[in-house]
Amino acid sequence: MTPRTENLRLWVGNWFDDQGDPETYVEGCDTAPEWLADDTDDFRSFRDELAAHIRDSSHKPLAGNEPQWINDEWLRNLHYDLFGPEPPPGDAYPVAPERWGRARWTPYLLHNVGRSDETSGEGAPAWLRARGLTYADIDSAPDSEHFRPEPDGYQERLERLTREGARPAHPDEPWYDQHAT
Amino acid sequence: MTAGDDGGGRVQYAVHGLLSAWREHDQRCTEVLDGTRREAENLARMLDGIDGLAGVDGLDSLGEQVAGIMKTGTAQAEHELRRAGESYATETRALLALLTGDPGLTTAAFTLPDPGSGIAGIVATFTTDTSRRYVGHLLGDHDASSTQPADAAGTAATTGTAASPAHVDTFTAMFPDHLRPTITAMITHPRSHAIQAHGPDVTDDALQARLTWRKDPVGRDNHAHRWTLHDDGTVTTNHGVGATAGRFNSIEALANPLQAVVHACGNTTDGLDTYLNANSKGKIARIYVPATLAGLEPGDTAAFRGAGAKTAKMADDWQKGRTYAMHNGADPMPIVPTNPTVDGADPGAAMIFRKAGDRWIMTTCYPVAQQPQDFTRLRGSTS
Repeated sequence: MTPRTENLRLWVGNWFDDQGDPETYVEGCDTAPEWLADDTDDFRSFRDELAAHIRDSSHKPLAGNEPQWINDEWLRNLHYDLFGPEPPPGDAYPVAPERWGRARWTPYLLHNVGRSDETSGEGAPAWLRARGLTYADIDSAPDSEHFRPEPDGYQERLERLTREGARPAHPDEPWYDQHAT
Repeated sequence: MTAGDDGGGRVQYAVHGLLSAWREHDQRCTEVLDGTRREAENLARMLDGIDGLAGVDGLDSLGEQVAGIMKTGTAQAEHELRRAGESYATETRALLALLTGDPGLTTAAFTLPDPGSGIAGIVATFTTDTSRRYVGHLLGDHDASSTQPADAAGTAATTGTAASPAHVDTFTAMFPDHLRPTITAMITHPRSHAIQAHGPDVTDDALQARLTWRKDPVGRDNHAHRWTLHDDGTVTTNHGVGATAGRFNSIEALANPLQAVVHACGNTTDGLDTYLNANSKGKIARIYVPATLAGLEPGDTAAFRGAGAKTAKMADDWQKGRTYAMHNGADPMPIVPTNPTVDGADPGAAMIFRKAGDRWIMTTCYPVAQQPQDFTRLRGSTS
């Protein structure tokens, strides 16, 4: 199991609450290339741990009792907002790279990207350039989404990952009593 | 919708509009049908009471005839109203199929509710758990919801970029003498905006304007916060806000969470520095202070929330609908008043500290209904 480290907890908790404070979320995404280059406060370990949690469905950062799938999808969006379209290694449900921005929106796109440089945050032009997107691309597909519906077989996969010890069980999951450690 | 068309958020926006219209239609049905039935009964009673009619050829059955006509009329009205309901049902199900990614929603058999059967009747027409929850959350907020037109947002008061000296005095008076210079510096730094953006001077109108049209309650005029309502009704701004906008109703309430943090750090600057350093990444520390530790009372906080925005997905969908309204000058998205301290599952205050040079400042502090899992939660003592 990838334990949730204090490093990951503090990166996500301090910077990436898109509901309560979009401003810090956006600033974090704009600063990510710099943090990555300098490995500021173990940012690279954070990136790797984030990818592992997405692979194993082993983290639930959202407030309230949101299903694991919603948390996974939120983490995929965060991964894209920070690191770009390459799916995290081992992701069983990767988002096709060409969908990002066009048919898949994220907190960064929601909060910081308008229809021009003037109507977007100051970091948006560089962020879009790094991802090969233009303003005309954004939301150009009619079925644009930010969370996909839970795929068939996902619950079986969760149960297996829990049984194999790759992820913790949560009280709202049917196998909690069986697999809780 | 074609590429380049400004479709972002159209579906999310339309779902709100359609469900609201359906609910209002249903409420009107109740009134119309109740009224029609009452009139029929009144008429029947009235005719019944006219003794002279009895035995008069052709008139003795008038009461029955009229009652029959009224009954038929009521049934016809019901039929017409039901057909209108059917249009709402078909349209909404198609849109929700897009939003929830469940194409079966449009083809599954469903029972149209009797006109006037209320929210439960509308919810019951949706055939999947996901869609029923979605519609239930949305309509659960409908009757308490309101909207704020963009021009009303335009006239909402702003608080100005500097906190008033009186507020700063009230705030710092809550702290031991020796800490007051530190606290003053923490809340009056140019990047600090807790008092201006979440203090008691932010009016209800300004909260609604922030939530509905992303209007900065401080009124900052830089690229990051400038707010413009254009002649065509569209709104542009880069000011960011989620699906909730809240404030503290007094400076004392706003100071309570910081007081709790400082107290837990032994009421020393060194203790505070140590705590924030230990919990920071990239020069930011966010601390969640539970309402009980901050001593927050029900009257201390107020907020507005997007209607139906009760889950992460629905909050995002609501915001996407807001983007649509802003880009297209459409009618405002509906909002509901809420009090995080009362309505929240785990209420408290979120505080953001930032290291400016070699000292920590508090950039903001806002009321929250429940904390995301990864926040640093203040315990009674930090050591």
